[in-house]
Amino acid sequence: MFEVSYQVMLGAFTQALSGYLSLEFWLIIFAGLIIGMLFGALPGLSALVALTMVTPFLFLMTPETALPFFMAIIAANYTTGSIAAILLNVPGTTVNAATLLDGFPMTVNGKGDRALGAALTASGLGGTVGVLFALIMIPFVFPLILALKSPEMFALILMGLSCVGVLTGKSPIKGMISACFGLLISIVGIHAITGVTRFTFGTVFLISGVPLVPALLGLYCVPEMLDMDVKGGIVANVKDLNLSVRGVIEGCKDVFRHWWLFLRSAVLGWIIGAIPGVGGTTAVFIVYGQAKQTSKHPELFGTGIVEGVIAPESANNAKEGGALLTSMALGIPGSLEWVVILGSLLLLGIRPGPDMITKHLPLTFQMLLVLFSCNVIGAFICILLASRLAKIATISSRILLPVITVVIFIGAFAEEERILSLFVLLIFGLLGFVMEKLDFSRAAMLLGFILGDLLEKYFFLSVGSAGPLFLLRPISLSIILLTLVVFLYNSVKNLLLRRKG
Amino acid sequence: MKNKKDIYAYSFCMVLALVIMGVSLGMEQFESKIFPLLISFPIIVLAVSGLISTIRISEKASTAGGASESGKVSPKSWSSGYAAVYTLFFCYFIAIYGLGFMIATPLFVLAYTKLREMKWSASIGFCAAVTALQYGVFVLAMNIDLYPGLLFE
Repeated sequence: MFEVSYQVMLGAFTQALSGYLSLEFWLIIFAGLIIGMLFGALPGLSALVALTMVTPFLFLMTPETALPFFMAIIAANYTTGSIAAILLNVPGTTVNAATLLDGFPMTVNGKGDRALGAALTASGLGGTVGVLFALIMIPFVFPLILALKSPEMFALILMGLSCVGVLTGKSPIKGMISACFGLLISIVGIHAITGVTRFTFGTVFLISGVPLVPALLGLYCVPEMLDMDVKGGIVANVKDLNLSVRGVIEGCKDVFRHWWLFLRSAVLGWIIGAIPGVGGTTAVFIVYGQAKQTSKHPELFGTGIVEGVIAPESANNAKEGGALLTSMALGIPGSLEWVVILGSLLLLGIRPGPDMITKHLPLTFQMLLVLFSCNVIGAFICILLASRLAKIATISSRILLPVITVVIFIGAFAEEERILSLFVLLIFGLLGFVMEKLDFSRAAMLLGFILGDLLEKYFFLSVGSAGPLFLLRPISLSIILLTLVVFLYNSVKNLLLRRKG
Repeated sequence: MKNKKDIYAYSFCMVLALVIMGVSLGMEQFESKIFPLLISFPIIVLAVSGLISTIRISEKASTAGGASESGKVSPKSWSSGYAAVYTLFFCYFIAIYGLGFMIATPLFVLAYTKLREMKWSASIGFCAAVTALQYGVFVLAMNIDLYPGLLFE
């Protein structure tokens, strides 16, 4: 079985490589890189917002162009975000938050160019390690995926929802409630099995269900725009940015001098990235913490040392390799960005899950290859254009907000060309805003919305094939027990803390 | 303040889940109602446990002197700021519905930039640029049929 898998994988890998021979492919990659860099350079606008905004325009693309486009955005975004973090003390994206702890002090000490060289090199190489690790793990994941049937898939989706509900946001209870409401939103429309209309309130518009794109844009982009206006864009002062080539090269060399720190940070980042729901911000702080604890000079962390830049930057791109494998193979998103990508896959007619490692293996390999190449190309471009990219952070919110709002509205309309989609956008925008203020997890709701149909389908298939006690099968039972551990972990931890206090 | 908001939120979730359960029970076929029933039930359980936990925290806080009740309160100016921008978004939607994207977009951009006290010349220039961008990128390049508006349909 392994031999057959090896031949299949080699064939899929070769097919994935052939994509690089087309000019259209490279144009798409560079478009993704530009968008990723723009959003990475602008504090407050993350890869999540970028991915959400481009999702409505997927109808112009095929899966073979759309998914590499997304990978290019992600790779460029995380790499570019370190520039604002280091030079302006403002993280370009949330995963660069740990970088500024030592990155900006290095700039203050006159070593901004060295910090930048180290960050961008660590980022580019970290992403490469993440991809290599994912490629190594695929043969081991392959037989595991083939063993998954409907009951196991049902249990896995439940686990994914629980992980995202419990681990994102501040309250596990609120997270799980959000996930459940997401599942309820997904059932609006005609029931596939019985043909009964559910919660359509007699309207024709809702017969095919709540449209995904306006809901997605509303949940994530509208609250960001409201926050951008009220709190103001980040006012960043661009001082004289004297970046010497020698300093940048010195920083690049630092990554090789600290190769062991780089390697273990990248691997740890990959492992954390593969855990559903943990997210990038947690990953980089965990890695920063381990770098500090294992350092010979932990007291120097935070004062401006290059190790404090290398560790988080190695992890923030490496984690995408882990997140990709979990998201594609199991259909459980490794981070918030992957929640959006999974939704986009459904719009493209592709079901994430075992199919991504069997039927669509060339596509998975292509995504990994693009992640690898864009990490390297993105890092290289950022090194060349660092000071120019830093200036993008000073664009006023008065300019940004109207432009992004217009794009959001057009995006919400473009998918089905129905004016009521804009109403859905505004309703979900208000819902997203209220959820954000009340600490309910929008990611969990979105994931429930995306996976609700699949969950119901697997439920009926499982009951049909294995009876009502289908969750007692060994693998599905193990997954359910793991889910309970995840759900109860936080509650037990809080209880113990309260008793100690 | 934060605890009060949580109490209202959990209560609302509970009531909504009960309504959904009620509507689901009225559905014709068993296969169509089982899933919403199975999902609504945990919402009620979770909302009740969240409510109990929040009430306990509030009681502890009030016996401790109410120090933790204040939490982080948004300034009034922030709430009215959010309301103003959201209302502008809603007006943009109404304008698109009536007048179409090509007229509503410059009106929206002009309204927003004037709300943010941009000079007239800058506002009008920016309006023109955004409208041109909208037409060039979405209509010409991407071939998207932007809604022409009720008046011009």
